[in-house]
Amino acid sequence: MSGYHGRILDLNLSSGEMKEEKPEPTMLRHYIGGSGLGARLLMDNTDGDTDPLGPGNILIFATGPLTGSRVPTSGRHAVLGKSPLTGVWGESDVGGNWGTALKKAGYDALIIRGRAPHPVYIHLDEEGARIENADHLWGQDTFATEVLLKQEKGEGIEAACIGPAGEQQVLLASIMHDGRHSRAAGRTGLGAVMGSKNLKALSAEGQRSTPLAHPGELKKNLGEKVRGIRENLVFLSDYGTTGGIISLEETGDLPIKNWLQGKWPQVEALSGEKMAETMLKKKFFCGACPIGCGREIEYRSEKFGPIMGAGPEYETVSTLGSYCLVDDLEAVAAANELCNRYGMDTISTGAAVAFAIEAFQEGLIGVEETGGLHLDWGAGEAVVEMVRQIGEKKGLGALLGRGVRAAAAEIGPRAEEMALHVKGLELPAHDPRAFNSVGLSYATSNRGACHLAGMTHALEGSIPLPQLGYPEIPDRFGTGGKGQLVARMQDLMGLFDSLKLCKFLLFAGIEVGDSLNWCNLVTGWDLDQKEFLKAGERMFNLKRMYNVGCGISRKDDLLPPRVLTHPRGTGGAAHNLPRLGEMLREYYEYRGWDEMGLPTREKLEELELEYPWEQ
Amino acid sequence: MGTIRVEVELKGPLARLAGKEQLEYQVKSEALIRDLLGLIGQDFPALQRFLPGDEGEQYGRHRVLILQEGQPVKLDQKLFPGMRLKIMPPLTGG
Repeated sequence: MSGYHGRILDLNLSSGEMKEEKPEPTMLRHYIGGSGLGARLLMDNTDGDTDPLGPGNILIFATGPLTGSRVPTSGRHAVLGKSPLTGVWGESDVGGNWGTALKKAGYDALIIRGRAPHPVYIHLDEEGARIENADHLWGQDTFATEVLLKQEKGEGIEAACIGPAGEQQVLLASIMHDGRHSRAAGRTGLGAVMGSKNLKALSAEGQRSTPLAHPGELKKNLGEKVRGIRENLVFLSDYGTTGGIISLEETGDLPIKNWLQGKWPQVEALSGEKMAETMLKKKFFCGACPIGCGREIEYRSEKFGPIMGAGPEYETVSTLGSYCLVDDLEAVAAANELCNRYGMDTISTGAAVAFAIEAFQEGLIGVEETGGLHLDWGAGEAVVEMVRQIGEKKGLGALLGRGVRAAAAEIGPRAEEMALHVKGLELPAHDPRAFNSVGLSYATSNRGACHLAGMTHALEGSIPLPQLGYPEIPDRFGTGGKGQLVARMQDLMGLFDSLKLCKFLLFAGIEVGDSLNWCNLVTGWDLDQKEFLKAGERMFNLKRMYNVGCGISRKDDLLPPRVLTHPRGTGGAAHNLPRLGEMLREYYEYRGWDEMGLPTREKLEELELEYPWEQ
Repeated sequence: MGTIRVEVELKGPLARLAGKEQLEYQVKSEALIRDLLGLIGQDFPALQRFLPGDEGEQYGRHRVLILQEGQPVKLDQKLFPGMRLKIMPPLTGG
């Protein structure tokens, strides 16, 4: 079984029972690993009635067949569960080194069910898994938790943990990896699921190598590819993910002032170049990555004291910066560090703060709700304080920590216009008005508004993908053909998430051919492009079926009114609005779904998926 | 064969590395964007590593973003008199 160890550990925290399952070869070929394998496991173990924060929900950590190999960027894993933030499909794919450690401990995936009677952590190594007491870790932030775990288990372990936000089941809570380097399984509130299980952390270590079907051929292939990746992604390596923020502002992609503004000249103050000049200590790499887009920062701020750890990524400088009109990189970095220490998704947290600022400015909330805090646009210190309130589940922060959908419902009808989300998940920092396909991708992504499920801003922005059928960059303001484009990209990105490849590889020209080739060289399979892409389609449809079981249909495949009806007004996408209805119709047709957005029996049978309803 | 004048605006760190934001070139009338990038690389060696190589690439992938009137241009596109290009950091982001 090349590419896998053939071991899935199923661990019940209520009873302490553990059992190992050997995945069927057909299942692996159908679902690959990571996101796809996790999809199958989540579908088989939970449903629409499962309480996301109850012991019946499961938390899955899944590696891919490439994890633990030397395939570039493959040091990744997926975390899955039913989301307490959205009530539907929950998934977050993460880099760092923990996934590699899990694989080296000898496991392909881990299923955690039940609820421990007191705080625990799980240690995994080649001898097996052990549940350990974590009373002494409970209450510690994520940086300290990693330090304490390494003191206890040795410097060789890799740690995944929650911070105080996850412990208190803040619905924006993430699962953090790699200590101060803060690689986050950020989205959909899976940190709260971990907290609901009284599971503080997982440590993993081992030396088991991933079995490779064709090691010699793979080695030969990788030498050339890695060189090409380094050469093409030199800018990302030099300046990190925020290096291109001025270009995103120029094209009208950067959301500004809670999506109300078209241009923002102050953007350079948040750029990767600025970070490099002021606070960069060194760059860092995820497992098997030749790029190194991570920024380790160290800075002493007069306003915020010492700032350290992973510097803010593009999404973070947007949500905590431009969404709030904060052009103070120190404030953004300080708020980012708080998110990392509390263990919170910086996208949803920043979006929630921007929502609160607008609600404050419009008089929907006042200083009584904010604890005396004046939430003004551009007020960096207020943003940092509001992040603290969310992390500590205090004051207005307790409400914002339930996400903008819930917060708007509580504050009142006028607030709903300010709450930008899809299916309860806050919008990330790519504007559907700048790239029409992004709007369709947000509307149809299984976890809610997600820029990574389709990654179509890459294709419409600058990267042709000839092997997927796009030798030219499509017109970003066009509507025709976008249904097919988004569906194809979602299927391919699902495969990346299952093999465990970083999507930045697209920018180096790595797409269908290379990912399929690596899959076959590692597993020994003989998948052709058709079967490979069909696996991606199968995973996407399986996740959709999970959501259908949660009540999702066409009525939920929407965009917030602000990006559908309110043009940016100025800048590189001043007048464009995505025509969602037209794109959605084409998308359903291409997917083989009915008008309500439900996969048809014929489509499910074609994909060898079960059809749950009899006529 | 005559020559034409084109303008280039460098943005962000690219401008800092070159030491200037606005460039002007007089190039052969049949010249391509790829040829222009070659000249820029010769004049500003600090930019060389970010400029697309001669690898059959159409757009330059992720090294830089080259825009004309807000849209990405192909490297094999012909320059025209008065053409104004922006060379920017690539569209990074999560």
